Amino acid sequence: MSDDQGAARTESYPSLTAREHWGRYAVGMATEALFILGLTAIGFALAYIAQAVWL
Amino acid sequence: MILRPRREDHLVIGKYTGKVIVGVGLLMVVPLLTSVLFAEWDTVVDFVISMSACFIFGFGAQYLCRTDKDLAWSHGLVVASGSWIWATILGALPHWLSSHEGSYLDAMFDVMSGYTTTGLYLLQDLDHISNGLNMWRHLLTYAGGQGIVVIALTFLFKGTSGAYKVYVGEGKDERLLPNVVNTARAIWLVSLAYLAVGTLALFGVALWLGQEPVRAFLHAAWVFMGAWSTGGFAPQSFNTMWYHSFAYEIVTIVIMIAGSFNFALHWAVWTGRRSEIVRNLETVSFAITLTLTTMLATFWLARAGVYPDAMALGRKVFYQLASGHTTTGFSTIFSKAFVTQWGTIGLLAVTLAMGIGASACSTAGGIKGIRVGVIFKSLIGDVRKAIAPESAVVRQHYHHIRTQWLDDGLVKTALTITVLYLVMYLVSGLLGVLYGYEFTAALFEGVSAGSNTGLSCGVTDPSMPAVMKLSYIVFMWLGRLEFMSVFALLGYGISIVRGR
Amino acid sequence: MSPRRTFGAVAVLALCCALVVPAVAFGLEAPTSGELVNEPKRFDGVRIEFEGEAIGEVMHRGADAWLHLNDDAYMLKNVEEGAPLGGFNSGMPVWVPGELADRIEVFGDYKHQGDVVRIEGVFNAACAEHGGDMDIHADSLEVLAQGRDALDPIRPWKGVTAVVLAVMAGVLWYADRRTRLRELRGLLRR
Repeated sequence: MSDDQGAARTESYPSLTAREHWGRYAVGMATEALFILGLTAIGFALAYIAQAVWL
Repeated sequence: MILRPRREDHLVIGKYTGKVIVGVGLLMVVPLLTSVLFAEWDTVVDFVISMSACFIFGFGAQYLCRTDKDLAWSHGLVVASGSWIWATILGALPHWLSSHEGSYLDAMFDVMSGYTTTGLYLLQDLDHISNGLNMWRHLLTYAGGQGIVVIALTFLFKGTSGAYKVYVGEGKDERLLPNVVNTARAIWLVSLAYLAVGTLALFGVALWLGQEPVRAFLHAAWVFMGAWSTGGFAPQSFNTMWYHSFAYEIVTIVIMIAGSFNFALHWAVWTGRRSEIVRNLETVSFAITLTLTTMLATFWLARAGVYPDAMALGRKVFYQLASGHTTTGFSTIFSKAFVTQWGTIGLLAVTLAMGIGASACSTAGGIKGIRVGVIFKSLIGDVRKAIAPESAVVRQHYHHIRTQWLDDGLVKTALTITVLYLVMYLVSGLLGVLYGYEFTAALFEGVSAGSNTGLSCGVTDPSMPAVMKLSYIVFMWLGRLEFMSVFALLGYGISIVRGR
Repeated sequence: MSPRRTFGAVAVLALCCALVVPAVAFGLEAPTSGELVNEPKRFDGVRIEFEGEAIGEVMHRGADAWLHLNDDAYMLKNVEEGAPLGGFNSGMPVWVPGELADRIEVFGDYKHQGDVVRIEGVFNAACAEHGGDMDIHADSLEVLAQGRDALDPIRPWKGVTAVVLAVMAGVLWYADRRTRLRELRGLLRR
């Protein structure tokens, strides 16, 4: 129980959604999207290599 | 000595199960309002009946099971797995009342598939269902992905420490924030942010692709839910092939893979630790196995000459592999085409990707990348120990949010769960063979169910034997809850019978 | 037989073949969507005719458009109207010039049975123009049957059940709430 009370003082819901965090969150989302697009690019690169060899 | 549960234990479990079912009933408000908006009156009545049934069960259980006792670990696991059963039975009412299901078992199959974010379905004539029912189908995957329990935690449990035990029972064991209720809220923040951005992106692309605005919006919301939850339900029978669009495919790929990430990873990257995405064992493991399975399928299909050029090859292979590996289940090819065009190696490559699955503490299924990574690292470590001098001490570490020691206990747990998954996959494949299906197809479909992927090669069908339907329901459930909480439920039942 | 007679026989035979062969060629194959998916190589690049219910919507992209035609058990009547369940939907995506697509007025969904349409065109097992999609590039389209509204009346037993259950739920909710409030008040008094 004390665990909950202590943490509640330091990180409550309104502070999670506060405006000043939005920039960081957006950068985070963009980082993830870039990583994923990187994986996608690797996938397509494999297709182009395969085309060169077989098609 | 097994202790028989006391009356208080039954009451605690009953009370909290009741709370979760009330939550399911409340969730039905969304499809109800959707049907009202589109004047789908028969569907409105279906949802009134279903919601009422949920509330009767939920409030009834809470009324009858009055207790001040808080949840213990064993309770938490039992509530997690037990409430899934009740949620499946009651959540199937709208499906069954719509007349689109061959039997109540079929309806429950669809609902368990939704909650576990699998995506296999038995619903017939999907292209003529109401917007309300389509909303329910997709909402099931979104809610199920978040975790029925996470929902309850957010709204109904009001910060009891026992809530954590149910949370873990559902297979999420990451603490993003010190307080578990705030962890649930952080998860919601990430999910809702992606919901807003993802739906908007899909909506924009859909309008550009020629969909009319209302359909574009509904489809965007639904496809988002299917992608983020790695569920794989789509609003039309053609699945994501409907859109015939590279842009739509790219957006769904981003959402699918993002949805398959561990929530702890999201939180780390979103709160300034961006390098985590390339250091984390799960993402590294995923990147490697995705590339390898994609390579296998790409080279095989290129050699077989199925697709005319690199663009077609890339689009088709990467999409299906990404969908399989994240255990989403979206498909831009016909189900039977896995057999008639992709062939054995193609089926096996996808089966392997599905079986491995994605990240822990996410909406994805499968063995999970972290276990694959841990086992692989442990193997390397064992080899090093074997060739190192006897006096040397070999200790390994791995990176997952923090750098952590790779100790034997961790490896043992990873191996145990992995073995359980592999046994389940094999059993599901053999079951299909027993009923006359060809082995690679049966294995593909069984792994798809057990890893909560949802790609189909044509085995899942309303005419499938009832034993297989029931078995797939069990596999989907076991896979989603990662065995432990289901075993706890069984243990609870055994202790009632055999305990003293 | 004399050479002249042989020649005559062969000429008659050749004439018959010349008449029969074009007749066979002009009769287009009309596979079902199931047949197309099961044997894509057999029909790849072949000109076929295909019939189905136009479902969902038309998506115009430039001068052409995407249609989806379903040739399944729900082509003419849907489940809400009492059509017996007959398996999953099955159909084909069709790429067609925009003006032809505009001939379709009703698309199938919850409230509508779509126009039943016949198209003729070339089937692609893995279309190069469309990223490997299995599709039909059609150049002719004919509406065979007009679409219509689909009825979906509320069945009486459902209406009654809904009311009864809703009342029961309300009662239980109230009972649970009252007992909880009483408990809270009891705690406060202490």
